[in-house]
Amino acid sequence: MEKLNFNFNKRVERVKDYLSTKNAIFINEYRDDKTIFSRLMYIYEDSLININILNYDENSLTIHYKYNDYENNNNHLDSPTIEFSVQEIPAKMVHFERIMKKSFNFFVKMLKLYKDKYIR
Amino acid sequence: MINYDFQEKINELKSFLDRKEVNIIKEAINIDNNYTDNCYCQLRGKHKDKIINIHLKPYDENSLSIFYSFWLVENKHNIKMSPVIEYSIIEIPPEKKELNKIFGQSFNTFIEMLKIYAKMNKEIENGEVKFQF
Repeated sequence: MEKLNFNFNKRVERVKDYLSTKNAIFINEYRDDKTIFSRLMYIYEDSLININILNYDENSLTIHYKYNDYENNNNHLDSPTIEFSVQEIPAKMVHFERIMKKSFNFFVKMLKLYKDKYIR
Repeated sequence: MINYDFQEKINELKSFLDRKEVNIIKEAINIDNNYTDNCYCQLRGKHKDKIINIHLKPYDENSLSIFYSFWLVENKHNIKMSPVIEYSIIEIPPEKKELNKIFGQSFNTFIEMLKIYAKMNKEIENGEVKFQF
């Protein structure tokens, strides 16, 4: 396990806290402490989404949002995937929290655009 | 063994991107009709003022996948964090009509996503958002 200059678990918990305020329904979490990785699965506004949190280096993190159409049973053929990620987010909690909130809101906007206009 | 002509699909993608005024600035292509894993077409293009990446590859012997991505770090220097916007479609039938329909839909979706992102960044420049990502 790489040595980090921040508490990874606290950042993951902060993401969970924020998502609970957004009425996202927690489904499960896969955690790999060896590679410093957490995958959170949520239902947000009827969509199943994955949020991956991992360390970028010892002082920063990456957050990655993903929506798979095939996981949401809309169609199986030519299945779209929407992804948004931000790398090298400073681990300082105040920065992490602002970027995490803003990136989630951007991902949700992308998802809404897709669902409103392009879902088949 | 691929049951369609991958080179032909690359040509169709390039024609489509040309119609959409995407100027290809870099490409990496490999074709091996016996192994889907060895086939890829990686294009880097400029659409209006944005550098975007478009990757076309076989999904299996009867279908394709297309991946779009936008890396802020490729578009703007002197940034620390790099947001990445990605959109992909898998298992696309190779028939020309269906393929071009999905090229059109997926490209439009991706460009709309970039517009939302640009709008958010404009808010940043106007000082409405204090912290850029």
